[in-house]
Amino acid sequence: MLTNLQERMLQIREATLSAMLDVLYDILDDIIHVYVCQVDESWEPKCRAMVLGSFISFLLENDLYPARRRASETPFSIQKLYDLAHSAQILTFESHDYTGMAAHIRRSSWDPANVTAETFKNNGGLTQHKKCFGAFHLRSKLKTIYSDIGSAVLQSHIEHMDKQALK
Amino acid sequence: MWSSFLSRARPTPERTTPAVQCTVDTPEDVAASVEDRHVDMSELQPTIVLDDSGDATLLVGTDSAGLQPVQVSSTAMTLASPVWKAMFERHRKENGAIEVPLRDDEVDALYIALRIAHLRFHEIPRKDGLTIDALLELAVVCARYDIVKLVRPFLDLYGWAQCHYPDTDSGERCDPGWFYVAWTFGYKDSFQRLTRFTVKKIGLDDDGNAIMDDGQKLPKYMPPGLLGMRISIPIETILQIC
Repeated sequence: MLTNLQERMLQIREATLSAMLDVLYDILDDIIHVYVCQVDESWEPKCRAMVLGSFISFLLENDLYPARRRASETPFSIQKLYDLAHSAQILTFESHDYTGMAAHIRRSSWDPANVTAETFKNNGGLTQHKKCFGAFHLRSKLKTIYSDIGSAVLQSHIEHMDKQALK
Repeated sequence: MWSSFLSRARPTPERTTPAVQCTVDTPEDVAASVEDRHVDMSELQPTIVLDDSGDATLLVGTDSAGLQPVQVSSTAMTLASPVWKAMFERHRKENGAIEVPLRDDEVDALYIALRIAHLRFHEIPRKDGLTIDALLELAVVCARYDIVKLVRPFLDLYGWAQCHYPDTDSGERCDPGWFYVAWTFGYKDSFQRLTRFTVKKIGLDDDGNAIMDDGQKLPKYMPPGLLGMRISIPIETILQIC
């Protein structure tokens, strides 16, 4: 039975935190069980190690791991958890962009007309791992939950205040 | 004289006391809840006179802070509040002198209401003259005695509430004490905005109690919820009644 506004706010906090924690733990499970590297299969072991290691570090730092916390067990506010997750530094394997090198070669006597970044990409030269964690959509999933928080205000509250305002 | 009331030492009401919901439906019930027990006359302080031809004496305050006799007009108070009316009717039956103990924590707020009821407008706080805690206490007193109509003109005239209006965009003045103020005086929009703001900022302290991210604790007075219009009363008051 709901008894007051504070209880309702705490219930909404718990439901929202629960959804946010589900996102975090689902992503943890995905990192463990699905293919992480978006660049090339050959990078998968190292790429996964970077993403998994830094994601677990983030959870550890905030006492959300190794025990998987329920919403009722965490002291965070919705805002606090959202900000922490939003600013989490999830590392990815080092990216290489040989575009600059291609330009240098173009300026040199090395067959400048035909050398492009594509030349190196096809030989493993251009590797962008940043999207390897981005594919889990942590921020966008949390933003959806954050933007869709329920209201603790009841119709009975509104009606009472309408009545009070007329006094 | 007003400043002497404000400076009188009294413990500040604890904001950590858990709120307790108690159904108090009638003016008679509310009147009974703030009057109780025998009064030791030796504890009393010099009488404050709001009406020198007043026919009733209120004994205002708490045991710990000492009781303050206040000479009042039962007629003026009866016109202002149905709760006060019930209170005086009850005491007239028992005691011709009409002496009524009022065990309120919110003494300064009660004095404001009493001064307005006795037309002593020159003795009430001026523009922006109330802190958010004082405003919260005034809201509690207004809800308890059903005297919003009596106080609102001065609330608006002196902007007692406007200066505490929460700015949920910047996060300034987002004091949870505003909930009860908005609830009592009918500030629906700010109530809804502050609720959305506060829901995001509530965490738990080491003991599992609700606490805001900036360290503020929720006040003991919070608006009630689903089941009818009920008044939130601190547990100390409940214990006094029982």
